[in-house]
Amino acid sequence: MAEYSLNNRGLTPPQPMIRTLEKLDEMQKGDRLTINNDRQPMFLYPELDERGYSYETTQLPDGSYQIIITK
Amino acid sequence: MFPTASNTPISKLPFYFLLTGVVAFLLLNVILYLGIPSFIDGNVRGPVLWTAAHLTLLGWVMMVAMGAMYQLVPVALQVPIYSEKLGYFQFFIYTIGILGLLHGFFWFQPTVLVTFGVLTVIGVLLFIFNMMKTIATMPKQTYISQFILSALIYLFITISIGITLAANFHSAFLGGIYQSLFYTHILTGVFGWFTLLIFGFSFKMVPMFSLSHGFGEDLPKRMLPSTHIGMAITILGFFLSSTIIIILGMIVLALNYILFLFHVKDILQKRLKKKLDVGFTTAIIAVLFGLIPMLLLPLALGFDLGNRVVVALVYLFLFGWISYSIMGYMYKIVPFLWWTKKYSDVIGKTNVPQLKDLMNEKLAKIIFITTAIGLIGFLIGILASLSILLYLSQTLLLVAAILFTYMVFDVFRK
Repeated sequence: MAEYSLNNRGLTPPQPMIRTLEKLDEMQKGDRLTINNDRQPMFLYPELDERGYSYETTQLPDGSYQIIITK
Repeated sequence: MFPTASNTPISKLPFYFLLTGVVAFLLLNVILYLGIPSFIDGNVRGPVLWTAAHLTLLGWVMMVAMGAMYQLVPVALQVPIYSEKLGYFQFFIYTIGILGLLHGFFWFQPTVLVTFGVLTVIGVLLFIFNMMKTIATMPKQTYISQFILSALIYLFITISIGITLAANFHSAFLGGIYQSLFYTHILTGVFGWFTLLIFGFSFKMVPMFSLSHGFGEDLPKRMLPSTHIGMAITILGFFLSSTIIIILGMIVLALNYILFLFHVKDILQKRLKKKLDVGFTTAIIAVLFGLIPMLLLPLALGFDLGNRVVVALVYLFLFGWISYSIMGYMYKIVPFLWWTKKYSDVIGKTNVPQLKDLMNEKLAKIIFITTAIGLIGFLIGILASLSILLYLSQTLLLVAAILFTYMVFDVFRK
């Protein structure tokens, strides 16, 4: 079970989402991906739900978001 | 991807427009029954169909377009709405204007028509002002914002001509120029405003909903100037009463429509999402419905195939392309908006309903298929002058509209 991380901050849509999904495609089942986004990725969640991946969001003190996704 | 979350509070404003639009959609499907005899005798320019046309375009399509713009402009262009307050004010002025306008059309009372027409125009002008101010804050214009700006300019032309035509009902002063203005009003409204607007947003929404990237962006960038040229030629043709020039202009517009189709195809070929949902598929089918009148209208005029064919093609353009694509996109937008609004603070932290729990895919499928069958039936009904087929098809469309209204309102109970 490998750990990956992606910094999506400063990118404009749809880059954060595309990068995240492409990274997830490379990973194995059970691997974890931590992403950092400027905004809450409301459009990513339904896609993760659909693929059956679980995720957990925390808002960081600077207002950005960290999401840990388990494939 | 949607800039929501706590740094930008989620507005209730789009809901006012979207839900009022759905009510108008239901109502227009009732009123179309009364208009069926006009499709049979071929005299489509009269109070009932004027009412139906404006209920469709101002009550349903325009209302939803405004609501969607208050939602999507910040998303697609990354700028906040200039004034939300103005948005609410504009909504009420516009709605009161339309109610009076429809009354004026239906009972044919020119004074009422002009009075409330002015109110409707003010409502639209405030909307245009609000959007222009919003777009003006963008640091750099993109081809998408240029499409939307162009659409807004055509909207301005459409309503300016519209109110002039209404004033002419009150005291005829336009004379021979009336016909030219009338056709220009339809063209700028239906193609200049709605079609360019759907184009502009599709450039953003098609990649967003299909998760596509790396597609070419040259086509849409080149499309805008040639679209303006096509519009200008067609309008010139109207004023010179030259069928050849009108056809020439329409061919230019049709070619642009085909370019749009190629661009959509390119986006879809480069998508990550394998299975497209039913609402989005509907919006894509709508593009194909729209292609038919785009290709056949110049032919119908060139070979003088008669009024009936032209009416049928305009019907298909309005209901198969514009209205049907709006139905498809609404299936996606409304649940997403509500889901975001209700759960954005807790999503990803606690267990909340998934977006797809807010949508009723099975029901949607029935609605969209029934609507497509109804549309095709109605189209054949116009062409063949078959009263029974028109009533039957409109019944299908009404049933679909009732279910659609139920489906949209049902989202808010979840």
